[in-house]
Amino acid sequence: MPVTELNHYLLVAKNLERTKKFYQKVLGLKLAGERPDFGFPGYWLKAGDNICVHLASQAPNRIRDQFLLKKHRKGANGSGTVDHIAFLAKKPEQVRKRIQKYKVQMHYRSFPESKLFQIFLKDPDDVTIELNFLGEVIDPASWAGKGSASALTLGKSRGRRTAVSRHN
Amino acid sequence: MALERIDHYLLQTTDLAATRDWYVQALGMREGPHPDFRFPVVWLYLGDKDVLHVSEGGRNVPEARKRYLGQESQAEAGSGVIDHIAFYGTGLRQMIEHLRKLGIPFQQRMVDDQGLYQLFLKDPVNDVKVELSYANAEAAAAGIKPELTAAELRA
Repeated sequence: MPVTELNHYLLVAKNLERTKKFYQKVLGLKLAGERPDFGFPGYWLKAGDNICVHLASQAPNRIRDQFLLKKHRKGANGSGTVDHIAFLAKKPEQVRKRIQKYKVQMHYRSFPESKLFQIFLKDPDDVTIELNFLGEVIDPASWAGKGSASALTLGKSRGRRTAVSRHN
Repeated sequence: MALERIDHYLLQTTDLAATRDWYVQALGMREGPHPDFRFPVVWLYLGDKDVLHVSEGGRNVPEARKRYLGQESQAEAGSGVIDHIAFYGTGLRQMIEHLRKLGIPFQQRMVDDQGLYQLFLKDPVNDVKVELSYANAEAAAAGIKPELTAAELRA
């Protein structure tokens, strides 16, 4: 089965530090050290060995909005702060074909340095779903046009800033 | 007290059947067994695990659902349709003591026929509802009683 398990949810927090503290102190989740550079500030939190909460901040950030496909405004609360639900998946080609068959628009995200490839899509109620293919290096350029509404690659530029390249 | 894993999320939709069909068709989930909550639900599985619970949302939410779960949002689209996110853990009694010590309010629920004991609380910074679920046996062993069980919704 290509989509294999539930992985995490991403919350765009009103106050990043206080929210981190809540998950650590109240729920006992552990801060993960290995969060890739997404180009926007945030934390990964773990239950057991798995990342289950990804925190980002409501502070304005262009890369975050571009990456997450929506403009997050300050002041959101309740479940509106949950940006997406993420799953782990395998066999990206197979998953892409399946989704394409149902004419659902996809957005590809590629992190070649972290060997991570992602497909973002929306469910019928407009909830964003993220599929994570761990260990997969795919050039989104080669997937251009194959059901892709947008494709981004994130990587290190020479300086410290995260480089975002658009492929379509 | 440790939370071991993320367990599921609950979506409230105005079209239960269309949502089910989409997750089955586009993501390859499978519809599977669920407890009787006295309100309509669909449980969707990946492998042997239920990962997505779907219930009715928007304006026409059944009264039994509101009593059991409340309703966080009237939203009919976007992430507002996510009612809560659930974790699974062990150490129910310790968690209850921990939350009381911190002065964090929570509600206690029990799904009789699933052997599941639930705590619902709010992340106070963002007002997001979080469910912590434990084995019923833990509650029974510690003499902990819920405020409401799914079976009581029959009344």
